Amino acid sequence: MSETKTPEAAKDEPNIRIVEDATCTFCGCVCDDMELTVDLDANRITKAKNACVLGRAWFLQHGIEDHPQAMIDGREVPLEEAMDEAARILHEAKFPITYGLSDSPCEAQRVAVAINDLVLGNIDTTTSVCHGPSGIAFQGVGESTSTLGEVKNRADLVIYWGGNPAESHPRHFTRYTVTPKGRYIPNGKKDRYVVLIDVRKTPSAPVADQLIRVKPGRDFELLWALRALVRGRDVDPDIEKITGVSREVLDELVERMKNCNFGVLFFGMGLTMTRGRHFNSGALLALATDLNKYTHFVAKPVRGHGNVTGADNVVSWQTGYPFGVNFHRGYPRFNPGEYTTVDLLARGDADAALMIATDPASNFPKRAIEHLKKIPVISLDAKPTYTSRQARVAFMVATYGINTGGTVYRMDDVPITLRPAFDSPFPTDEEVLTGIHTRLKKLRANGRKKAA
Amino acid sequence: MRVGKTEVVDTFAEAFGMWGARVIITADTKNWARAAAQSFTGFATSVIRCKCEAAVECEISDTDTPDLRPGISVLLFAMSEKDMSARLVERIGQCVMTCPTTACYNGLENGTTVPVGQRLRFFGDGHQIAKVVGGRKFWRIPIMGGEFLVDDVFGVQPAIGGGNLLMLGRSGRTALRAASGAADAMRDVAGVFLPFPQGVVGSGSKVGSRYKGMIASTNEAYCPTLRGRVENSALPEGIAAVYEVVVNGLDENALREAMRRGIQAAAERGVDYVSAGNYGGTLGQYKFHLYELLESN
Amino acid sequence: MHTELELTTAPEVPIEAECLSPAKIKGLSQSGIEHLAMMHGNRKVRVGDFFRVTGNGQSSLRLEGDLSRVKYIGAGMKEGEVRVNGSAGMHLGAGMSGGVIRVSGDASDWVGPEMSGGRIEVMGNAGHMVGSAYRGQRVGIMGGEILIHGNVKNELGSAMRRGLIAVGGQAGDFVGVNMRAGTIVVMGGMGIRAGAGMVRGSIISFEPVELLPTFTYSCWLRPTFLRFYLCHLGQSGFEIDDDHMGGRYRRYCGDSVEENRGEILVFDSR
Repeated sequence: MSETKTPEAAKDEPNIRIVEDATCTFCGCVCDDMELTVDLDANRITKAKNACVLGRAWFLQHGIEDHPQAMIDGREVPLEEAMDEAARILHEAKFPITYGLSDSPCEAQRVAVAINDLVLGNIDTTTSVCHGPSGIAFQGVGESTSTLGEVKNRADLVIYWGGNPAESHPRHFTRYTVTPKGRYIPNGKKDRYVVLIDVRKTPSAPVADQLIRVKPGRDFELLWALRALVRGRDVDPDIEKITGVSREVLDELVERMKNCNFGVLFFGMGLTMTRGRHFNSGALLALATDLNKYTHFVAKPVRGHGNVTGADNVVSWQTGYPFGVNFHRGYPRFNPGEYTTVDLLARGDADAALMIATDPASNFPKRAIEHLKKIPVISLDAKPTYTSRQARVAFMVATYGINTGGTVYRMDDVPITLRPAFDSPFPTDEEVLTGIHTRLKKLRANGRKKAA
Repeated sequence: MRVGKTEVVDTFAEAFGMWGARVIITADTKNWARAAAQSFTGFATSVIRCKCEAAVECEISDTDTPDLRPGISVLLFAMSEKDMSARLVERIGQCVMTCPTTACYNGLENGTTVPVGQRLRFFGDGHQIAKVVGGRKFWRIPIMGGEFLVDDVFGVQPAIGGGNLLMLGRSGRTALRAASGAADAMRDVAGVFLPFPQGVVGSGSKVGSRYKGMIASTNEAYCPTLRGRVENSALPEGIAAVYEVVVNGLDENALREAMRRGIQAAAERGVDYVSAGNYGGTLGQYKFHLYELLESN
Repeated sequence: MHTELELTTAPEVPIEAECLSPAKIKGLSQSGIEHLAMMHGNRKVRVGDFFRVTGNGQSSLRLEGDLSRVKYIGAGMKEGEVRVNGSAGMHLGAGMSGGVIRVSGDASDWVGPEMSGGRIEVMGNAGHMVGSAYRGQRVGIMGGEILIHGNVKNELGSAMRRGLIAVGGQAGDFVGVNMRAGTIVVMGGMGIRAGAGMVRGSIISFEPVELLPTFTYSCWLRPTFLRFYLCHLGQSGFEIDDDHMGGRYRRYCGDSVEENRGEILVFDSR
């Protein structure tokens, strides 16, 4: 339960508020044990207890900017007018696309799906540029999975592949996987064996009992060799030359994996976004599945954005597919490569775009950005971005987790409630999207009347 | 009717319906292809005891075979479709697959098919591989020499067996020279083959016997030594030997052409009489009147 | 006799036109063809809005112009012929079971996905996923032939179960990934990880290939069956030289993470 109380110490200054069990939405860990001290006068969070270095920056640097709620072509307009214009653009488009969603709560994501269902659009999330390959792989080879709670209580072998949680998810080690004591792991780190598989020695290395350095771009070959060895098959004697890992190390790792009580493979974008992509994730998931012949083994992607997992869940729940979903024919179709945003922008397919809490204008490939400049863009973001500056219609929205509530999914598909710290003058994603959705329904109804 | 010095008897050859297949054998060299073909066509003179009849049809150059290697075309006839499958499987399995570097293809595109590679594949003991290209399915069977390739099914078609000419000579040498000359001329026709040694039969037979269990026995009407002994001798006085040329064909026209060429070739060699064997027209489905053959030219 | 359709209006967004297939137009009048429905983005449009139609519906269809944004040409066709004078868009011949498609220019991604028969010939290049399974499907093409004279990108023939795919130029990574059976011939070299997860089937490369550690060298040989295939490809307009026809190939079997019954044959120029 959300509890807002005024502690003894703060009695003299009534504008200080403590928010317990607040949730940090900075990364996919979605830590829900924050204790925030909020200065309500300054609209600032002054202290974020339990937060990691990234979470502290996320909370402490957040302020309310002086910025219009809505703009059309860089000109401030009333919110209503911007929503009208956004609805008109989407209504008239022949190939409207929606992209982003991974930094919005599930409630807003749901409206985004509804909008696309209505305008026969194309919806895609940032999953398509981070763990989309894993999404394809889940579908292809299945997933042996668990929650992070199970990992904490049971896992005695923890393997990280192509990720650097010490820098990207600092509390992953301490909350779930390495140091915490669990029901069957009474001594915490002492009862666990931690392996890090990466191309270089990262700041995560000191946590690990073993670092296995794979040659860059050779993850698939290494995974494939491990799969063969787990199955009792032989591999190329030149395996060390190919992967940079000796046969002895591989044999030892295979034995360790087969003989643990509960093993877990965490994988990051070092695996999914290097050459081979969904086959890399697929190989790792298949390895986890193979190992279930011998012991309990699970695989989990380490997700980046706060609610990217929610985006997968909401889009899957509503359409049957996790990302890259097209509604042109009135029913959802899934085809990564065809309906994923980067690809369809690079081909010049879309004629209008709704960008939700994402900044493709700064991080997409050049050809995709060039096309984005040619078409009307509607942006929703909590801060000004390259995309919002170039957008035809730009909405400034409240920051989820700090100013607005809602639900987000942790990287292990566990839904977590947000507890906002203070109010924002900006509307929420959900409010803006619902406004657009309502207008679209009217436009569609009028269109039908005219046609009749 | 006289052709040159030769008297062509006014009679007809009586032939039977059979089933035929054309088998293309290829190998790395012409010699290995020949070796396989020789083995394949061994002990295949007459369905009476060999269960099938087979002989080489022609050699094929390495520009015209399915795998562009030297090849040989072989024809094999048997009495039923079911027999065809069994005979092909036996002979390809035992005589072609066993011969180094060979492959074996179906040479009849049309007609019904019988399973061949489909049954031979089990030699691969689970390691065989099926391939389909251009609608054609074949099997790759791993063998000690590498791989043996064979078509999944072979085309079979109704065919004709038992076309024949009889060469009657006042000397054995004349009759044999005419018979083997005729055989050579007949062999050149596409779609026919001569199942007997060099195409010539020295011991032509009739159906049945006085002995139980014998389905064929010596044809006493044409045995020179029995002239005078038997009442039904068909030999004019002075005949010292009769040789039969037996020819099988995939169709009637090929058979006709072969027999016509055979009569011409025999006449050129001055044999005394050319006749043909029949059973009074009661047994076979096909009749080839010698006069008609000559007139059709 | 054929029906000719010329693309006269360039589409703003991709068109989806399963109707551009002999079975759909055969027997229709010229105006019947013009009234056939297509998707232009999310809008229903008519063939006549974009194409100039000449002649009534025949079993042979000729398409003129740059059709690189027209998807699903010849999808599901069972017989007849489609000739594209120009380039074709995605999903060319998707799920076709018979007939012939010829493209004089390039084709896009997903050429002949999940087809079961017939033939697709592309004189230019093609994209990713040529002759493949759609995402989420376990089995790709079930038969037929795809002949690409130019280059292709990744995942050529993924999960194919039967049929022949030939590429005159280069192929990308993961050629024949997860293939169940069938034959892939690549003449201009291929990327890494060919045959990953293959169960059965043959991948033939005229150029050296870097193989996965789960493939094992068996021997060199002069495969007779390959001569059969190369003759067939020679008749289909590929230039096959004598070296490749009669030469030696190194045979590797794999993938050992699967049943280990597939093979990769690599031409050995020695």
